[in-house]
Amino acid sequence: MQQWKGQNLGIRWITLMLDNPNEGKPTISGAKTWKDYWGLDSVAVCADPSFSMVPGNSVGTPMTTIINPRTMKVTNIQEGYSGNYSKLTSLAQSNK
Amino acid sequence: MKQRVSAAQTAAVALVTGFFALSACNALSGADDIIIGSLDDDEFNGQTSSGQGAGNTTGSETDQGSSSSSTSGNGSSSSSTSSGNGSSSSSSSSTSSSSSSSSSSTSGTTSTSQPCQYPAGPYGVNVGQVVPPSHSWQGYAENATQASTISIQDYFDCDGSKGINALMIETSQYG
Repeated sequence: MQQWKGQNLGIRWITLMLDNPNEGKPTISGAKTWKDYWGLDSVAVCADPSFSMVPGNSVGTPMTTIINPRTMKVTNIQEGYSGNYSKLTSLAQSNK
Repeated sequence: MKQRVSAAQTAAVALVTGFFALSACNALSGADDIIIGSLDDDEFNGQTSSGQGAGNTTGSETDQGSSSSSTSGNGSSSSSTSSGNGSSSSSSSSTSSSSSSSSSSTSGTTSTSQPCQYPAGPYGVNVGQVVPPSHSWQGYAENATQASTISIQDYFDCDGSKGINALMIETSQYG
């Protein structure tokens, strides 16, 4: 994240929470708790009780969905943490 | 002689006055037909709320390949002066030869400053699909202290004018 800001790539990040700290349904306060805990000042954090970005009936979290803001098409979905954001940064570079 | 001339002049003035009065009445009566305003069609992002496509892939990673940088909307204006439909400032320097023709050409051909429409479907959240424009969530925006509704349409940037070049949505959970 800090690398992206440093490069001024124009990458935006939304985190959607599927549950609460008590594992109940996600709420706004739960999203706030997550945002504060991880210091996600420049990230939008929201509650997503409808699993709106999950294709199908199951999901492995964290699931990362990359979207091209020019077309709003989904270009990549990654389930599970990989630490590799090359596709995200390359998309941003190509739109720059 | 003087009186005859002045009488003729008086008659002529009366005729001319009558003519202008009639034409003025025509102009007034025809005003409603002339001013048919085109004040509509300025809405931003017309909502097309169709349903979400059913997703059915469960892979660890799916990819569409590299993105082509083709913009679906209209290109932005080069001078970045007017965001509306006005056409006066940018074309003033090049209309010295024929002003009447320039006004018609600008209204007829240069429609580049219209706001972008959210892309049409097929909508869905699988690779290659357009994220439904109805997607919105309750939460906290970037650097916000108050909760609000965040719409996916806030991140639609057809021409790069918002400075958004890529969007990542991370779906996560506590447990």
